[in-house]
Amino acid sequence: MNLEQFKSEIIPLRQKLLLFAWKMTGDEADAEDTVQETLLRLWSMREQLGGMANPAGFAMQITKNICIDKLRTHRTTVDPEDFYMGSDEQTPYSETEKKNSVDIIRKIIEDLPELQRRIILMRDVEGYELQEIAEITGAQVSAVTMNLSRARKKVRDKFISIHAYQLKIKK
Amino acid sequence: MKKQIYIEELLEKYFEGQTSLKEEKVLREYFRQDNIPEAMETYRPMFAFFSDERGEESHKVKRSPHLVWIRWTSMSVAAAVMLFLGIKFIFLDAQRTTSTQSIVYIDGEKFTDLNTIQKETLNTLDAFSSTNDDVIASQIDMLESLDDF
Repeated sequence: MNLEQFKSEIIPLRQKLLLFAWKMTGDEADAEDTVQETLLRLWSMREQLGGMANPAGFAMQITKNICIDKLRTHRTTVDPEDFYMGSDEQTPYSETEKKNSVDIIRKIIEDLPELQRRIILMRDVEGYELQEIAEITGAQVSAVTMNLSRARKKVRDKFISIHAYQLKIKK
Repeated sequence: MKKQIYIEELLEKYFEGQTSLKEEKVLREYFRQDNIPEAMETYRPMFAFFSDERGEESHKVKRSPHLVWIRWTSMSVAAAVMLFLGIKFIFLDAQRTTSTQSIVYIDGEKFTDLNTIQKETLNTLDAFSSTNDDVIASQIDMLESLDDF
């Protein structure tokens, strides 16, 4: 399924999904996030979507699952202690540290809320234009920008605090 | 210095989600350099992660062939030493068992004479095997008696 098909077959489901999510979560902002997440998940599996008998029902099921996840769990947060590797090397930036740091970033991104994680990966790894992500999620570009900015800042801040913690226990 | 200010501005825009794809490429390339100011190191892993995921050549210290040679040589030396020590231990052990260091105690009395030791060892083994024979025989008896039912 290409973007045009996605826009004509999947995006029109948006309103229905939004109402459903709103009813389930009881919160408009949560519902909006849920729907964007749903659409991004559907986009990530667009190859299979074309062959599906009932994409609308499938979309609804995904929305429902996301709502349940949201109601049930609080995401686990990254614990700085997970990353302590007693490296004794004194060089400012050893190879071990570099690898360790990149792993920390990977873990922080994995632990982002799903919508933010999908957006930051689509942008910073897959190189999507924000306009494209907005079209896929049926949201405003400003909403995508906001989530992207939040995701990037969260990764930065979390990394800084983990790094500071590591330096502290090293001393 | 000018470049430095430009990068700082880009970073600020980046975290607001306001950079273009082209500007983000400039940032990734900048953080792939070896020498950047200490204050910038904080951001390196984040861009290194994206570069890695994109399959771009990342900031890596290339290993010189010389280093590789040293690494392999030291590993081979270490392996040879381990092998030598291992063999030595096995031989030492073998020597010990055939030397006069062997001791048995029979009824509290100490014996170091090899003949006595061998005899006693055989006796002990016999005792064990006969016990086993008894056990097995009794088990067979029991099974046979069960068959009668």
